Amino acid sequence: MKLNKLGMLVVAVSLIVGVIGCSSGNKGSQSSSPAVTNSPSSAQPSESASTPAVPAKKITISAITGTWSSPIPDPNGEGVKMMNEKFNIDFKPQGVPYDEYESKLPVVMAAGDLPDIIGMENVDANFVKWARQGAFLPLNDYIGQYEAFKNIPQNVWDAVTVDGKIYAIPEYFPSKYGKKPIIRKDWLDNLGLSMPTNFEELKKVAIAFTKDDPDRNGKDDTLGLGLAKQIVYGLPMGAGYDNTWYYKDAQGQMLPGNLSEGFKQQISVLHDLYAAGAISKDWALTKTADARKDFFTGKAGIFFEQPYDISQSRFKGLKEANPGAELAVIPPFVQEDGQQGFLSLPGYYQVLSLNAGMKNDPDKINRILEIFNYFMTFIPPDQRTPDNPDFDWQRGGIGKGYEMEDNTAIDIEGAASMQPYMYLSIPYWAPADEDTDPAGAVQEPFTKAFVQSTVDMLKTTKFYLDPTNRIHSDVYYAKASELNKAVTDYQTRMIVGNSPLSDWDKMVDEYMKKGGKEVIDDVNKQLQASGISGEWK
Amino acid sequence: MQHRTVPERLGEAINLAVLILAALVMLFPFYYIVIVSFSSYQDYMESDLLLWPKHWVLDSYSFIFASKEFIRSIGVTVFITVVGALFSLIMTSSMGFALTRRAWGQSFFMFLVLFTFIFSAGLIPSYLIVKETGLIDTYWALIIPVAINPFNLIVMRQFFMGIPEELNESAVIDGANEMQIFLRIIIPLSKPALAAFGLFYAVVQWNTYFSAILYLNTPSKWTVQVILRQIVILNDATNTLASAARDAARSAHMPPPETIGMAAILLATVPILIVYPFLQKHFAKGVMLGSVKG
Repeated sequence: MKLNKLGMLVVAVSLIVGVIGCSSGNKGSQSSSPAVTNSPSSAQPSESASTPAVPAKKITISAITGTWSSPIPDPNGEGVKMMNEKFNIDFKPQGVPYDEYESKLPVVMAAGDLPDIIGMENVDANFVKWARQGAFLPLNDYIGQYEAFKNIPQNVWDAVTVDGKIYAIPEYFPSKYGKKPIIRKDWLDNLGLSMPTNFEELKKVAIAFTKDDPDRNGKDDTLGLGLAKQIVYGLPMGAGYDNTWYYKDAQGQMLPGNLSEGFKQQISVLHDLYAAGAISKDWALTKTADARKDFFTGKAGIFFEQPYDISQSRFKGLKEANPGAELAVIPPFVQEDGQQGFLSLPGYYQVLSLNAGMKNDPDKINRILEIFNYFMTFIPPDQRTPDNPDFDWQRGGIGKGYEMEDNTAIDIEGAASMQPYMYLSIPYWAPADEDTDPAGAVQEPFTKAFVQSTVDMLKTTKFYLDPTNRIHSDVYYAKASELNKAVTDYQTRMIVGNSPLSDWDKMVDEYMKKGGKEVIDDVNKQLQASGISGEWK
Repeated sequence: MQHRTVPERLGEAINLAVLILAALVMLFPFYYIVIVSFSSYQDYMESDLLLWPKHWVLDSYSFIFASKEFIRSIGVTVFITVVGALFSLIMTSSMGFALTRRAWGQSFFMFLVLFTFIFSAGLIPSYLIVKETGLIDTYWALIIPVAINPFNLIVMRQFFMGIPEELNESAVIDGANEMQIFLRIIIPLSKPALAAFGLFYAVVQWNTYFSAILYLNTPSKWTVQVILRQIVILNDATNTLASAARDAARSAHMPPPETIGMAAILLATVPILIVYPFLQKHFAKGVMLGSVKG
C-alpha cells in the first residue's frame, strides 16, 4: 500500500519534470543579439537645416531592430504618429528584445520576411554573410549628400564595408569612454602612496591596499583588485597590454593581443597579486556584477568603470557608505615601445541596413537616409532644451515626453511611446567624444565629478585603433571565440597557479595548432589587402 | 498499524531523514527566492547570504505591478493558457479516440504522430508554416501549432484503449454513433486523464516564451514570461565578454536590482503552483494512465 503511493508519487514527479523540461526546450535562445536599434526611420525633419520640404507621396517604411528598452515603445504610439506626420510616411517598427534578437533575425531573414530597415547590434559573421548574399543595399552612392554622415570617421566606415561596398549606416558610440581602470585615491593618500605608473608600482599598491588597512577602520577587510571570472577586467593598463592586435612577430605578422609579451606581463602581475592575496581567492567563479559590488561597497581598491552611461546610484552608494572616498582613473602605463595610451572602442554600436529590394526606388532610399540623417544631426548638449525645435520634437514635446530638471532633459517614465527618437534610437554623431559632455548628463555630484575628471584626462590621452575592427575575416569569425576561450582558461590557471607562467609558449603553440595559425594568416592577408594597420589617434 | 520490528523502524527513519534532507535541499532555492524578493535592495547588497529579510518590503512587487505591460501580459498569458489548454484537450482527446478505432489510415496516422515525436524540423520551417498560414502576430500562433503533443496523444490513446470494450459495444447496441460514444462514455470516464493533461498543457502554455518572441511582432501581445525575462535580463550583468558599448547601452536603462528578478521568478511560477492542488485529486488517478485496465 505504502509502496504503491510512493511509486505513484515518483512517477508523478518525473512526469511533471519531464513535461516542464520539454516545455522549456522552447527557449532556444542565446544571449546577445545583432545590433541595430529599434524603430525605422523616415520622414525628413522640417525645421532643422538639413531637411527639405515634406514630400508629396506617402510611403510605407517598415523596420526590425533589437532593443534594450523595457518596455518596448508601442508601434502604434504617439511617437510613431508624429513621425508619420512629419515625414509623410506610414511607419511600421518592430522592436525585438536583444536577448532573442540573435535567434529571431536569422529566422526572419531566412523566411524572406525582411522589412525595409534591418538593424544589427554589431558587424559580425552574419552581417558579412548576408551582405555578400545580397540582402543589404550598398550605400556608397548615396551617403555623400548627408551632412551628419560626414562626422563618421574612416575607421568606422571600414567596419561596415564588405568587399568595398558600404552595407550599413553605423550608429555613434564614443571610442574613448569604454571601461578604464579606476582607483580609490583616498586609499593612496591614506597610505602615502602615489599613483602607480608601471606594473611594479601597481603591484605594491594593490598589496598595500590589501594588507595595510587603507580605509583606516581597524579591520582587515580590504582587497587590492576586483577581478571577475574569465579575467574580467584584468589589468590592461594600456593598448600594448590589452587583448588587441598590436604587436608583430618576427615575420612582420600582426598577432592577437592575448598571446603577446605585454599581455603576459599583465597575467604575471595578476598571478603575483593572487598569490599575495590581493585578489579574492574565488575570483575565477565571481560574476562581474559581484566584483563590481565589491568595489562599490568599499571592499576593493581598484576596478574598472566607464565615464559614459553609468549607474549613478552605485557611485552615490559608495560615497554615502565611505564619505572620504575619492576616485581617479589610472593613466595608461608607458610601454616598452615608448607608446602610452588606451585601446579605443570600435567607435560605433549598432548599425542600420537597408533592404536590397529597394534598389530600384531611389526616392525611398533617400527618404530613409534623410530620416537617419535628421536623427543623427548633432545637437550640442547646451542646446538640448525645448527652445531647439528639433530636440523638442524628437523627445516628444516638453511636458509630454520629457521634463527639464536643472537644465537637463529627463525623459518621463513610461512615456517612451510618445517620443519619436525612441523608435530608431539613433544617437547624435558627435564631432568629438568630448562634445557629448557625459558629465552634463549626470546629476549626482560625486558621479559628476568622477565623469568630468575622467573626460578631461582622456581628452589628451592617445587611443589605439584595433585594425581587426575594420576588416572581415571569415576564419576569424568562425574560430576566434573558441580559441580565445581556450586561451582565457589557460591564463586563468596560470593566475591561480595551476599552470606555470613558463607554459606560455606551450599555450601559444596549442592556439596555433587548434586553428589559430589560420586565423592569424587570414587576418593578416585581409589587412594587407586593404592596406589597414594599427593606428594611434 | 502493522507492528514493525526495530530494524524496520530504523530503516524507515533513515529513509525519512534522507527524504527530508532531499526535500530541504530542493526547497531551499525556492525559499531563498521568496526571501530575497521581499527584501530591500540595501539589505540584499549588504549581506552575503540572506536567510530572513531584515525588513519585509514590497518594493520589488510594486515595481513590477506598476508596469502596464506586465498586467497586460498576465491577461494575455491567462488567455492563451485557458484557451490553449482547452483547445489542446479537445484536439488531443478527439484524435486519441479516433486512433483507437479500427479505421482506414489508423497505422498511417500513428506513424505520422510517432515521426513528429522523434524528429523536429527546426525553427525556420516552423516559422515558414506559421507565416504561410497567416498566423504571424496572432495569439493562435501560440495555440494551434502546439495543440497536440505526441507523447500526450499516445498516452491518451492508451488510456482510451483501457476502457472496457463492452461499454462501447453496449452503447453501439443502444444506437449510439461515434460522437455520442465519445461524448457520453469516453469523456466522463477519462476525467483523470483530462485533468492531468489539462495541467500539462496549461504549464506549457504558461511558460510560452520563445514562440511569443518569434511569432508575435507586437510587444503588447507578449506573454508574461517575455516581460519577466526582460526585467531579469536587463539586470543580468554576467555577460562578461560583452562589449563596452553593449554594457553601456544596457546600463543606460537603469537595471532594477536582483531583488526584482527574484520577484519576477516568483510571479512566473506561483500561478501554476496555485492551480495544481485543485486538480490534484483527479491527477493522482491520472498518473496511472494507460497502464491498468479497468
